Amino acid sequence: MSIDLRHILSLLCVTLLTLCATAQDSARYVTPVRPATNKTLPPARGTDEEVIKRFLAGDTLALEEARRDSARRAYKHYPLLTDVTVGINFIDPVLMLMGQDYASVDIHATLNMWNRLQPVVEVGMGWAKSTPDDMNFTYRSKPSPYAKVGLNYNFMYKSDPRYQALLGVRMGYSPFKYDVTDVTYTNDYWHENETFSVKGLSSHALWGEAVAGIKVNIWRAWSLGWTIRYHWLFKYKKSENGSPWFIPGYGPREKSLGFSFSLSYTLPLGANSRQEISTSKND
Amino acid sequence: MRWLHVILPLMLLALVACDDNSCYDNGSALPLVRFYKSGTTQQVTLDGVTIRGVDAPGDSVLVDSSAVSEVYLPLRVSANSTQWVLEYGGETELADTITLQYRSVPYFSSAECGAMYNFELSSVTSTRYVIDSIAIAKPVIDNGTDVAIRLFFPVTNEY
Repeated sequence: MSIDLRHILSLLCVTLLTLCATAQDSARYVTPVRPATNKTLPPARGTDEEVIKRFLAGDTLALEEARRDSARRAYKHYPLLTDVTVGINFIDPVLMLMGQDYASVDIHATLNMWNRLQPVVEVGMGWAKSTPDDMNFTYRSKPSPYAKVGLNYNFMYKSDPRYQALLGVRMGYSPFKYDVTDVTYTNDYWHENETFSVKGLSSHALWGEAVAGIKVNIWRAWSLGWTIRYHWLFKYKKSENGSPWFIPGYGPREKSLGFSFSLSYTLPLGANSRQEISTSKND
Repeated sequence: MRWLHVILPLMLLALVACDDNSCYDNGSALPLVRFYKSGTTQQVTLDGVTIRGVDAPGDSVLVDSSAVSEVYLPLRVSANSTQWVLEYGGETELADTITLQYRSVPYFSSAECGAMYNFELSSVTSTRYVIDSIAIAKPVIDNGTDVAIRLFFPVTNEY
C-alpha cells in the first residue's frame, strides 16, 4: 500500500476543516446568549400611548413595562401613615336654627393607616333646651362634655384617599347634669294643680355606635364628611326623679339613629403619601 | 368617584325621617287595681259597682254602677294617703273602703310622656265587708300599665 501526494493533501484538508468547525463551536460556548430573566425592569417611561408605540416599533420590553405599570395603577399601596384628618361636626347647630332643641358639636381627629384602617377620636360638647308645645315641662341640659373613640374601615382603600366610603364603630361616654323645670301637674278628679321643678339631676351614659359614612374632597385638602350612626346605650344612670331625655354626643335617649356632617382638613404624612396623591391628581 | 357627590345630598334627606313622638305609657302615674278570686290568680268581674274617692270634690264618682274587673285609682299629691269606697249596690248596700299610704315623688318620664308624680306605696289596707284581702303587687307606681294592687274577693261570680 503506497501513500502518494494526493493522499497527504486530502488528509491535511480534512484536518483543517475539523479545526475550523471546532473553533466556531468554542466561540459559541464562550459567549452564550443569556435569557432576559430575573432582571429589575424600570417603570414604564412616558404615557401609555408612547409605551404602546415603542412596543409596536419592536421594543419587546415595552409590553412588560406596560403590564407592570397597569398592575401598579390598579392597586395602589398606601403607607402605614397615609394622612391625618382633623374636622368639626357642625350639623346640630345648623339644625337648631331650623328648630331642633338640642345640639352636640365635636372636633374629631382621624389617623389614616394604609388608606384602610382609621383610628378615630371625637371630643365635644352637647346641650339641650326643650319646651314642647303640648307638654308640661321645660328640659335643660347645660353644655356637658363627651368623648368617643373608635375605628373606621375605608372600603375604597385602593383609590384616592380624598374620597372614602367608611364603616366603623365607636364607644362614647358623657357625664352630664340636667334640670326639669316649670312642670305643671293637674289631677282632674281631685281638682289638684301643682307646679314643681327638679334641678341638678346628675347622670352619665356609656354607649356604642355603628357608623356608615362617606368623605368627599371639595377643595385642596378640605373635605366634607357625612355619617349615619346607629347607636345603643350600654348603661346610663337613672335617678329617683327620672331618666335623662338628652345625652350629649348621643342625642335624645329614645332615638337610635344619629347623623353627623363635618368639615375636615387632611394633612398628608410622609413623601410616599404625597406622591400617591399627586399621581392620582394626574390621573 | 363623582357618585359620592350625588349620595351626599341624598343622605341629607334621610334627616327628615325616623322621629317617633308617641307616648306608649300613661300620661300620669296611676295605680292599677285588679280584682281576683280569693287565693287564686283568676280575674273576676264585679257588676253594679260604684267607686268614689273619700272627700272628693263634689262627691264625684269615678265608676258609676258598672261592671268592673280593674280600675285606675288616681291619688292625691297634696296628701300622703287617699281613700276609696267601693259600693257593691243591691239591697244590702255593702261597701268597703280601701286606704293607700304613699310618698309622692316628682318624676320626669320622657319627652313624649312628660313629667308627673310617682308614688311609693308604704301600705294598703281595706275593710273586709266583701273584700277578702288586699296586696301590693308593685310598690312604686309609675306611668306603666302593670298591676299595682290586687283585691281578692271570696266569690266565684260577680256580685
